[in-house]
Amino acid sequence: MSSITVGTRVETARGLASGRLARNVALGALVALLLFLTAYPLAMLVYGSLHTTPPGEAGTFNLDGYRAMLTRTNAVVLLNTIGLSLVKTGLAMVLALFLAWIVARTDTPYRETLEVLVTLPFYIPPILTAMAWGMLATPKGGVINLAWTGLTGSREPLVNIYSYGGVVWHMMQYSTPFLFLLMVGAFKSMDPALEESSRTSGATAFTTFRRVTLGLMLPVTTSAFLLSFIRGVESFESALIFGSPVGIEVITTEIYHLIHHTNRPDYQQATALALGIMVLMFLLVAWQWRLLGGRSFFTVTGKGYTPRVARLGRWRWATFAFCVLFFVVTVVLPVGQLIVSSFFKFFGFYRWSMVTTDHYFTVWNNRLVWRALANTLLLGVLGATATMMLGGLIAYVLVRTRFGIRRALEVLAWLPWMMPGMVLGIGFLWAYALMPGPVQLYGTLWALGVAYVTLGTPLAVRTMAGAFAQLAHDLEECSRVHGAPWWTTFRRILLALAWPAFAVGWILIFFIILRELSASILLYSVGNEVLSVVIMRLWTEGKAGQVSVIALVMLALVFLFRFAEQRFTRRGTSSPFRRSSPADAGSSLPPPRIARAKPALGGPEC
Amino acid sequence: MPGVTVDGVSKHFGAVRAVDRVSLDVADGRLLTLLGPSGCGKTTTLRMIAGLEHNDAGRIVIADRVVSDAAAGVFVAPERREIGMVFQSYAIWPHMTVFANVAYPLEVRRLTRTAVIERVGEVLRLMQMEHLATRQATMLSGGQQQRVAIARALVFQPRVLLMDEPLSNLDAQLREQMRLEIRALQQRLGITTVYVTHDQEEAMVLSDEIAVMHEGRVLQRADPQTVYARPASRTVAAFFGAPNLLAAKVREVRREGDGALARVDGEGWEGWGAAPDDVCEGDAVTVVVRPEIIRIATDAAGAGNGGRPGIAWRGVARQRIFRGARNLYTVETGAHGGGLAALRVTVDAPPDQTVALGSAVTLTVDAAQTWAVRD
Amino acid sequence: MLTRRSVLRLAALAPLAVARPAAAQDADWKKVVDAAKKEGKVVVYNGAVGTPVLPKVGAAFEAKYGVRFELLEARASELRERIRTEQASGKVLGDVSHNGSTTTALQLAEGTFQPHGTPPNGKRPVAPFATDDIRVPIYVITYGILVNTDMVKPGEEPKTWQDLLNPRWKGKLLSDDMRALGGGAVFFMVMTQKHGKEFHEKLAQQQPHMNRELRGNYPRVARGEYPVYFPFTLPDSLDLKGLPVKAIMPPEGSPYVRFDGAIFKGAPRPNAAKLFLDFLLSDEAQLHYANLGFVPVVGGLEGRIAAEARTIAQVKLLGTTDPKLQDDMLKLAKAIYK
Repeated sequence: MSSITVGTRVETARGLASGRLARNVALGALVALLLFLTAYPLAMLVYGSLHTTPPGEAGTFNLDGYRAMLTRTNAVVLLNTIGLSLVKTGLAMVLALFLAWIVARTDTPYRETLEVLVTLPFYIPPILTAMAWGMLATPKGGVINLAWTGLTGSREPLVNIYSYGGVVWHMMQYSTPFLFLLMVGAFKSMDPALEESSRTSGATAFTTFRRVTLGLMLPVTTSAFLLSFIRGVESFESALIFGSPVGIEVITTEIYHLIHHTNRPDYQQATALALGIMVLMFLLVAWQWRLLGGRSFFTVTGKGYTPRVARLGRWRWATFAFCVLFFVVTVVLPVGQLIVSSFFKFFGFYRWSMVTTDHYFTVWNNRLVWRALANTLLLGVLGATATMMLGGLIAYVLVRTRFGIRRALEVLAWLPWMMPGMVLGIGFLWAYALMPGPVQLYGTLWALGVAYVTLGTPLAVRTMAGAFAQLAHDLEECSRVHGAPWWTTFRRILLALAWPAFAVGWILIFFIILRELSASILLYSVGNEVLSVVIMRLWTEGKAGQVSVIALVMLALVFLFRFAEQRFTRRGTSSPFRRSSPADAGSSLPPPRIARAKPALGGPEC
Repeated sequence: MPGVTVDGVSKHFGAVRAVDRVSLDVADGRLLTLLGPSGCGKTTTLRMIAGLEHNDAGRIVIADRVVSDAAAGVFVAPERREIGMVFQSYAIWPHMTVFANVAYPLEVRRLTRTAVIERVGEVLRLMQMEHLATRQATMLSGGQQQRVAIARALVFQPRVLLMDEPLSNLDAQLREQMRLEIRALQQRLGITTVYVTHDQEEAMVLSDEIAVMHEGRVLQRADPQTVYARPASRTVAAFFGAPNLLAAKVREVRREGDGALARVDGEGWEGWGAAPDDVCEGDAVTVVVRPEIIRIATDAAGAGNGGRPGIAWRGVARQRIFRGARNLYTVETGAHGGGLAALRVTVDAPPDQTVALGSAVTLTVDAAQTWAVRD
Repeated sequence: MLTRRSVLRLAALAPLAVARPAAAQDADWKKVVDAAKKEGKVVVYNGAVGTPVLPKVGAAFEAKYGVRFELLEARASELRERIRTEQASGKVLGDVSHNGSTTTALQLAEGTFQPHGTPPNGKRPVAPFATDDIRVPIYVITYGILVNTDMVKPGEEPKTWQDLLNPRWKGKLLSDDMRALGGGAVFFMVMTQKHGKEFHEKLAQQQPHMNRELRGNYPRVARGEYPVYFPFTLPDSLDLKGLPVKAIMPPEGSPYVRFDGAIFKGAPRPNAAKLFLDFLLSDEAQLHYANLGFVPVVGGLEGRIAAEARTIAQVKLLGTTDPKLQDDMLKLAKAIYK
């Protein structure tokens, strides 16, 4: 060793010797960016809710918007909304937990493939599944009901999609894979010793699952539940298509009516209603923070664990069948319908004489589709990457620092999740179009990009915070001590270790961008069209066949990304996927690196 | 001179004073151990040297360079302190190979690829890990991870090496082997090292100097022999093994050369014990008597100090714990009538001093091997 | 309100109007054309999302004048808020509005538009259509009834709007949601104006199934879910070849909506906008509309309309919506159709 000479010695006098200034500048920039992304559009909405006219027009300030909110009808609608979302989240949660358990903790065959399959429903545009379920489960002539009445001779239809049940069912198809994606990682990386000690204490497998496994997963499950519940409250398509026709209204459909189905769009009331909901949702989140605050969970560490796999014996084929059934019902049925329909002249009307490949050629020859595809891919790739990077930075500040400002950051990062997209889109429009200064955002492609980053940030923060919380502090500190500046450490250690979460988050956000319509339609400009807008155009014109073709292209992308992701993550951090570790002779398993989920204030440790 | 100086350093966590005005200095090439029970502030002190915690007060100097001075607002980021560190968990990056782990400190210093390969090879050779260079870090045993962690800490020839309980995750046998290896390596490289442990045996084997910490303060700083034989306080004494700590009063002090002898009077016993210079008549003291230096014999066999000053107790052997080479006796002494509870003395006796349980025994110890510290 | 006279009758008079040579090619107009070419493009904000006609008209416009045609589509309320915000911030991107007459009328009241200065073709629309200072009428979408011919025997289908009240259709009617803007609301308002709310009270007894899938509805009739659907967008009947359905145009006439064109205040390319408005009223553009089943606003096209579209493009008009009544009508619809 002594023969080695230190060649390059980092000059310490260079730059900001203390690092504090640099850190504060960086932190300040992060806060400023987040303020611009979320607080600024929301502030415009607050203005809109308090002003008789939208921004930019003369008017007066008053509370009419909020006053109008407090009606009996709205109270009923609110209860409706909360009830629907609770039911759908609850059911989806049960389903997602079960699926996650099957995939992560049992010896069910082909579970790595199943893991990809059960997440696919999330990526199918809701409008298409709505169309498919409309055809499958409408009381008169729905395929399911025809089969039912044909088989049983019953006169009553079996299912009716135009009902509370229908709305819940349609929403569940998105919530279940979403929840599954958020939770399956935690299931995989839990320290098996914690469960084993429960079993040796005399608890049954079920009791262990209930008391220990779920208990340990509480932070993950509650935040996933909350995310999904809030999304349920903000969601729109299911209720509009299956609820409104039979008088089932939710808050978002009320807002939709206020904007789209009145002579003069009532933005004051619409924004007031949306902000009211946001406050309500925020209280819920704050309550969850209180609930989980102060509890530290040591279970889910980084890699290195081989999760205990339950041997199900013959039952493993039952669990296999269950996953397949889920896949068939939520993916094969609607997608099958898409594929079939894409080859017929009329959507859902199958006759040999009407078989055609016209839809494919029409789409292929549509210059607008190509332009929109290029724009969307560009925005999707850049947007998802930027969002995940931003989310990673925010998550870092939230999880691994003690800065006083981090709660404010967390709130800011949460807000877009609690706003119905329809209203938030208006906020973006007002914010970007009325933005003072020389930089023009409105009318450019980047207006969409910035909006997408804002919309994706809550999810990015969630996924990255979860991943960072699982990494022992040592791993990061070790890098700093050995000469890597913060940024290098963040990139080469934290991001590299959180790579699986990064990849999952990236794909989720990519597809959120792909599907996003509410903000896109208000912000796109000629030449800057995106796929969701094109789909909406074709859809409105009744070109379901062409919409199917585009949707299939999108689904092909999903397959590609999901499998690529599985490959990448497996190569990057191999261990969680290995079932046993062939460590060399005489050694036991590597000692678990206990993640130290430090209490927020930190404490002396020795 | 590339040593480490810690000068009046403090650290608070909320209302808790984790480190309280600690001052230390480690001379070039020496190994200082911070020893203490958990929560004593030793790791926090180490982390402040590393720059992983900000000290609220005081100054830290590494190799003549002030890396932290709370009063002057100086704080050098950890990556600029040029230190190597071995973490308790090893902090081996699981997404990298052994080679990549060790190469990392060189890569972030922008060394050329050939220089990196050369140095990593050298240090892996030093740690006898060459054959595992391409292995994924998660596929290593605990001992191997340990070696990788050390290799990584040394590869860029840091000025100072910090080690935070590096052996606590290893099994006993491996731990003893690694202790010797670390010591040999440290002496061979002559690298200034600050080592944190709660294991006094480890501290004694490894250290040039030990700083015993308790509740955020350094209670004593000295070479291992001194800390062991001449603890500065009852607390320090209590931390090394399980000594008999006997309350007594000083009746008489006889000063001799570099120390003092004190006649101490305990509950039902008295005798002469070694004491610090400044002990005075009438002081309440604790006499530290280590179990392994007490001689035990049945009364019949007779025992004594051979005329040397010392202490003797009479009692009854009540309990024996067989520990292979040695026996651990609990002897009940004192409590001659009166209302006093029996005084129990633990004796760690060699096999040639076997006594029957229940028999009356005499315990003797030379004054020089005892130590009376003021309470 | 527009006068509601039969287009068929007007059609007889129309040739007189068109027979005159395009005399408005005076020097002023030439200046506009030249300026438009210099401006290079025109951006059209279109509320008739996805309409297949506008791209064709645009292409013809580009071919004729060499001025690029750009189309931005969004739903009426979205377009309205976009242009309002653009104007408020002084960053107007759009030139021409192509939107439903209701939205256009409301925007007119808000001062969204600037006068178009009546381009040469501006005088061409025939009654009940007419150009004013701000707006030019462009085309009309009409509504009728659609029946499934497998489920309803020839001769038994509802032939008039009143026939929908026949008890035999109880529970068998599919309808666009009359409580939401769109075809349903148009039908509701026109029928209320013609027959009073009693008509709807009776229709409500029939328990029509209402939904908002709009273009998803006629395939459902074709598939046989419901035998009868209204208000059916008549131009769609050109797409139905091969399906067991039949479009019915009640002799009483069709409720309709008109689409208007106008130039945005602050439009960055006002001359191109004028030129495009003018072009919208040319035979060439109007034929594009008529050939896809929309009713044109100028006369004299009869012989040139594609045979398949001819009947629909000349359907009798019953009445259209009144922006002022819209909100009340939606409320009324909500009260009647629970």
